[in-house]
Amino acid sequence: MMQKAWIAILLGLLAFCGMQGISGAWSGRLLLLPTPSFGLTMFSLSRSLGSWLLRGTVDFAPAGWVWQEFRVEGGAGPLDVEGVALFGPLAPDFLYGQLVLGTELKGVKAEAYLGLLGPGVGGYAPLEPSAGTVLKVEMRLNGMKAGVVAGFGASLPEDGFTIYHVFGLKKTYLVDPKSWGSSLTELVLSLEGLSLYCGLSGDLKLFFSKTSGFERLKAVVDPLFELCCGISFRVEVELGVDYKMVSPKFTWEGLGNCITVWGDLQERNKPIVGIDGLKLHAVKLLCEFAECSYLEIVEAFDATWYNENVEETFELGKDEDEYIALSFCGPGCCGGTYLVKISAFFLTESSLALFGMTRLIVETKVPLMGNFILGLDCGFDILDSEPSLSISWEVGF
Amino acid sequence: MKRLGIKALCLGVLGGLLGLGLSGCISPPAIVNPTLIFTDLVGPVGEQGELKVKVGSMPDGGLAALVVGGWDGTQFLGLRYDPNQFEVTGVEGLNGFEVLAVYIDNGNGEVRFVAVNPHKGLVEGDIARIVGSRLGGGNFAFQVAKGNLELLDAGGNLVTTHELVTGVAPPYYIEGSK
Repeated sequence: MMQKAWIAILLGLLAFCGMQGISGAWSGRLLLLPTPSFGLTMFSLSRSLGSWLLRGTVDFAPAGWVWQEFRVEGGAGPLDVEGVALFGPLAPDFLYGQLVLGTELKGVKAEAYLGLLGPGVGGYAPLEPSAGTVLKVEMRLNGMKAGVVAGFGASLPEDGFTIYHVFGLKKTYLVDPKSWGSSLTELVLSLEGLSLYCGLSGDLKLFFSKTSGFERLKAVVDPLFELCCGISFRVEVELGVDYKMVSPKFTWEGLGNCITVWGDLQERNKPIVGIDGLKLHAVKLLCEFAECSYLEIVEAFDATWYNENVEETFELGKDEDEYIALSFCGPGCCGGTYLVKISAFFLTESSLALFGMTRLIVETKVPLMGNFILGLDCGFDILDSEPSLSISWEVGF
Repeated sequence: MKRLGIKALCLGVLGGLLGLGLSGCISPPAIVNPTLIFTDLVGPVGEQGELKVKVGSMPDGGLAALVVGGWDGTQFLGLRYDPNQFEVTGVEGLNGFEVLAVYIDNGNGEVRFVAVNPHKGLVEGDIARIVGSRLGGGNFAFQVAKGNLELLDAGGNLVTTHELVTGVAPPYYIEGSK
């Protein structure tokens, strides 16, 4: 498998040498300790042809070639076109395809989304290919935004449609092809920025589906009013065929700048709506000395929440919930900037290690040429008594 | 005038694509017969992996009890998997189903369980989740013989004419249901 990967890279380089106007990037990692192996590697080639941009990207995991993505972006007159095709050499098969066509005519924005899911992608449904279309039309009406989204065997999920690979890589696209797109499966009518009273505005959405016709009406007023210190109150009303749901919600945007506090309000819904207290997820202290020189201290009261919502930082299996990082940088070769970051991770529970330290990591990035950055990362896992060392590179051409 | 023509052409293309979607030239697959499904394994290597046990088009008030593991005339077996790739840690009931008994043999790669819903049957949906650790990225197929399964509807009668679908451990997967 690795041989095939290297052949693909060589073919790409040959194509690069033989063709003008091609640019690309190659980034990767070579793990030297504890066991020599390749880490994740990405190679991409791009070429502009008039108003069109063609791009091919290939990702490799230690086990081999993960996937190959082809992307085309451009326009033909007022029509914007964006197409993606994803292939999986491990299946091996076509995995996913997406075509987005958009245009705007007299303030009316119309977009058509086509999605195809190949037979090589598994999940909680039996393996079968699926395809669908979504038509989206938006227009401005007296300061409001009116929209119609019609799904024909497909939808546009808010968080996108993600395809995962077993070695942790993922690709997120716009269209979820739920089933074969032969008939209308869902319809959403929306009105955003609807003027209410006293300067309030809200959003209104009507949901219809093929199976149940009218499904629900959702109205959101956010914020209904604002208290002090970034605390606001929103109301969400949902009316279904056989239910009514009113969701009053206090939200707190947290604190920012030098000290960042992530938290939420502990709400009391019964018997009366109110606030019981504050729920703190994590606190970060960031002291910036210069542009990229800083000291960062993070104390996570909920490390799982921090990993999922802020940044994948802590190793949960080691019960880590605190880290200190010192980063500094300076001018390097060819107009670039060198970067050094020293991070120490801790657990607050009792531990045999000094200060409860679990890991120590030193990361460096040094520009060797204008388009070549070399990285060296070394670390020591105190709990497992295991050193780690890896070399990374980023090449642009 | 020419610009307007191009715009009209673009809208025509969009309309054409919509028409293609509506044309009915591609038909949706549908579950019409009573079906028991053991889905694909979902989850990355080194972390939690899981598969779901689902039913579709179950007759007579829906499925109320499922026994995975039994004598098929030759041997007593449940759902089998590759123990080098997956290690089962538990079985959880879904949609009102309760798991009464579980037998896990990670040495040979086999899990047996009994799940019942004491309140009502389920015509369509998830009845259980088999969770564990995904040890490797290799593909393998889950295996269970029809004769090693027992399905009971809401009236307590055996569902004998059902189809069985078993999943694999694919390298590419989506989370959530399609």
